[in-house]
Amino acid sequence: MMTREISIENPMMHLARMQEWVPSGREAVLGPHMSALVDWVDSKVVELAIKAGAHEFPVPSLIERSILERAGYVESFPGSTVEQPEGSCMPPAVCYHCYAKLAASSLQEPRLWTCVALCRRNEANEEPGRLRTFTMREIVFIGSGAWVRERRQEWMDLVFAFAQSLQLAVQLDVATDSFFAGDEARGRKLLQQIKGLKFELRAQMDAEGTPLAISSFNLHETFFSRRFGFSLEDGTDAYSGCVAFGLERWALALAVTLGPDEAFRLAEQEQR
Amino acid sequence: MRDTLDKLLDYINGELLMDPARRAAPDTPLFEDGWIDSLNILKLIAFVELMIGRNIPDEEIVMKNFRTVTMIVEHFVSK
Repeated sequence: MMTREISIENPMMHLARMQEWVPSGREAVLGPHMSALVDWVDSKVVELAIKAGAHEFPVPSLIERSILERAGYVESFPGSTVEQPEGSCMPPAVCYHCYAKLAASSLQEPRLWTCVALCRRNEANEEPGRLRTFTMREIVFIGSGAWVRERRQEWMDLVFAFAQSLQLAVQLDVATDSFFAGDEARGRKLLQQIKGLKFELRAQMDAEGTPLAISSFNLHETFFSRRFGFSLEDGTDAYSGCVAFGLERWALALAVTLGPDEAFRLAEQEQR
Repeated sequence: MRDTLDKLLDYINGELLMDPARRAAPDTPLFEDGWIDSLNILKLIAFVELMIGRNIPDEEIVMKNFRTVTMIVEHFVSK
């Protein structure tokens, strides 16, 4: 992993002292500058998305449990769902709304959408930057297999260049995380690895170079179109893919690597 | 090497691909169109491990080594 010199000895403690990132269990309370930085990162991603031809796809703050069941989330990530009254859940990711919207339809043209929501997962791992409640911005593409693969590659290049322009020390790798238990879990992980279905952009989070994924670039093949029953105009299953941005993680990576003052200036300059 | 290739092809066609319409050839891409799923990949890896007499670390389980039967044999048997 490429590393960058970090002048502050313990950046996380420094941010906590500034009351800008105060850890509280597996949550964090963000101060005004950190919140502004989160919004700034989001605005930059939206700029990239609009430039690439994406349309804003507004989503509700909760998602029906039945959508998550249909998407296979509940069975794949048991215990991770955060239930709300009346059959609703906090969304674990934003893009499920998009597939539900297209259920039982035929696409006359590819879809390129962007959406954002406050997401929540019962995260088991504890590490700096891994929050149970976080803001996720997504770019979602749905169309033919070749079109979706091209879009993902385009976004990997775009986001890598964006991170480098901000002087973040980042690396793009095939994801090797395993969320599932048992033998089939290992099979799914290896299949994901072999087919390169998920890449992660990891940023350096401390002087030692400890990485944290700040974005992921995912191909779902025809998984969601089969689950939700949407197809291309010629009747074949549509392919889908998405790019996810953990906005608080991006802001934290900027504050840690650039130093809080320099990072906060990014958002302040924009406001002038 | 030819024996190994045939043995691996026989295993894939006889044990993994239950659909008689699907017959893998030496250069058939195994991971396109869902030929090999998440259960079969484990059986395939276990079979190759038995053939070569060693465990395969996860880092070696990548497309350039597993795309086709020929590539599996070239990477794990011939080298």
